[in-house]
Amino acid sequence: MSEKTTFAPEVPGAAPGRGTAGEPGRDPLRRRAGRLAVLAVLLAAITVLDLLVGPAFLNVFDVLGALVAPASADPMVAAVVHAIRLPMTLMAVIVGASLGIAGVEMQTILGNPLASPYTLGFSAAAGFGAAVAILFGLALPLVPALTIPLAAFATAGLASAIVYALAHWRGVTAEVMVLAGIATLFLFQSAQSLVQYMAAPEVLQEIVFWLFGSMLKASWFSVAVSGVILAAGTLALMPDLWRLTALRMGDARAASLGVNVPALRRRVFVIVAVLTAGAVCFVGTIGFVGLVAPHLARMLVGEDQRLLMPASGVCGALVMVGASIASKLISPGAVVPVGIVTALVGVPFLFALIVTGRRRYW
Amino acid sequence: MLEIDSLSVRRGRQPVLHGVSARIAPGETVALIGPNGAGKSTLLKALAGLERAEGVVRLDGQALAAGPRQAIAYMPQDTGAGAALSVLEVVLMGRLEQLGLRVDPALRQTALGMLARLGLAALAHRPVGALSGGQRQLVFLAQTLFRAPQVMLLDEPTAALDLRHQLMVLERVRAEVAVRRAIAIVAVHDLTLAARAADRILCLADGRIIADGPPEAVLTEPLLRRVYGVEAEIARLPSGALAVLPQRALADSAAWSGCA
Repeated sequence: MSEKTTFAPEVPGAAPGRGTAGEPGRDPLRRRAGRLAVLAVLLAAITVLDLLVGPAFLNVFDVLGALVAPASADPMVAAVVHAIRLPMTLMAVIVGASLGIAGVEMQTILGNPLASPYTLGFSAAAGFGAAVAILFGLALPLVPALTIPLAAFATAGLASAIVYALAHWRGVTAEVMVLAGIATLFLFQSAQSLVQYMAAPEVLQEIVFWLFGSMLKASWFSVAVSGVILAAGTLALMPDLWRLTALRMGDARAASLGVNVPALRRRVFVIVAVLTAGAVCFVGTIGFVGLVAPHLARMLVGEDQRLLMPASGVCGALVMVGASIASKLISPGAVVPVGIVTALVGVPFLFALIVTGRRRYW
Repeated sequence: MLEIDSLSVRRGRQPVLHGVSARIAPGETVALIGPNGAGKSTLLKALAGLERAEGVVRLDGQALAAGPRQAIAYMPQDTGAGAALSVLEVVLMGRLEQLGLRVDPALRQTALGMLARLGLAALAHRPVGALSGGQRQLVFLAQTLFRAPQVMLLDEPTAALDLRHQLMVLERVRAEVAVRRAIAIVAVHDLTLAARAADRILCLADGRIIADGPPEAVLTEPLLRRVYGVEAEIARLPSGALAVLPQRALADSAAWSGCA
């Protein structure tokens, strides 16, 4: 070794001599993009599968026929497929994707692997709004069917406004937002329990059914509204993807690279709130998807938000549609509320992920 | 030319920096020294525009507006965050404003070239969480250099490094500064290293600059007694470099509460 005062810049652990020209190791970007494509294909497949399963025990080929050529299909089958199954399945995809994207960005802006739209009280608030609307039998003039979704959307908005206001007042840091969010969660959970306690038994049943989160509440209208919100939210996140990736290096480093961290946090928080409210206001409370999908996506495609954001959406949709299939198979001829099944499917999955994780994903 | 004109920072009512002024010429590497809590990090953040400050900072005669500054790259102390990001991703983000949904292959190639110059090429696709503290420090230095800034502000860049890499990082910074006629201000605790790596030393204590000049003028036994509260010997090595050898801490030092 001839080392005097000059330095052959090399690093222990890095193979010296390699990689001065060209690129050592394979670029994982292509491989990861491939994984995202596989996930998307998987989602398409499982979505079709979800359409084929249902309590009406329709023939698989009849369903496929009704999908491909509705005009020549049995009118009864076509009606079931187009009026019930398609909106339910599409809603599962949209709700799962919305919660997956909302979850991953919530974790990113809060720098916390436990954050999700659920843990910050948005879902509890939506549930409270719906419960109040059900308890008092509220009905909007002209559009009574929209009363409960609107009430849920409004209270979810209120919950996010509380967190936002506290953060605005006390400093837009992850700590303040997490604390404010958890306080909001407990506040609305208590309020929700109070409403349930006060409700008459038959009203209580209706409230509980709403809280369970079920795709049976889906309609073409809800698909359209939630779909537009999902599309708008995704588009709104696009310009910030690299800034969100940079935020993973910590506030100070992101700020030193020119990111206005408080402004980014505020902007993304609002998008996450709208995505979550758009997802749960029609179908009810759905937990766990927003927590588990980001971790799955991160394992598969890494931290680069250009892949992570869509991958988290696809993973969310996969979990949701998978849960939807399970919800139809658990008790033949009936549909168990999917909100119950997501956690049943999700928890063992998360356990497996924790046990088998080979390297640090957070 | 970087001109700092009576820069003051307050935390609540507590002043942290009291009217700091200095002029630093292109091509200069300045070591910023001072005891813990002297305001070194605050000064660097204020220069980077990341801390609300009174006073004016001018670069080539132009007063800089508040907020993040494109020409100035600030490298904070390592907090261990962002473990799952890859080395290449970290370096690329040095030019965040140039990144889009598709990353320009030329930009990517430049980033890989920067990694190669720091001997990190083989680590390009490894997650930074899998690296040692020293390797991480080099990766973030690569990010800072990749920005090709006019002014580099490095907060304790050698804190996690072994001797060899301490020297390597500082030599790399100094070389970059000399070649590009840039400016570097490096906060360091190791005074011998400061003397070796910098053209000039700024000594900060209690938010004020109390000494500014070439290493041999600043690093004196009385100053170390007054600022750090230590009895130290300053030796000149055969190479001509200075070595600061601390002997003992003074019990009744005013160094922590502020010096006269």
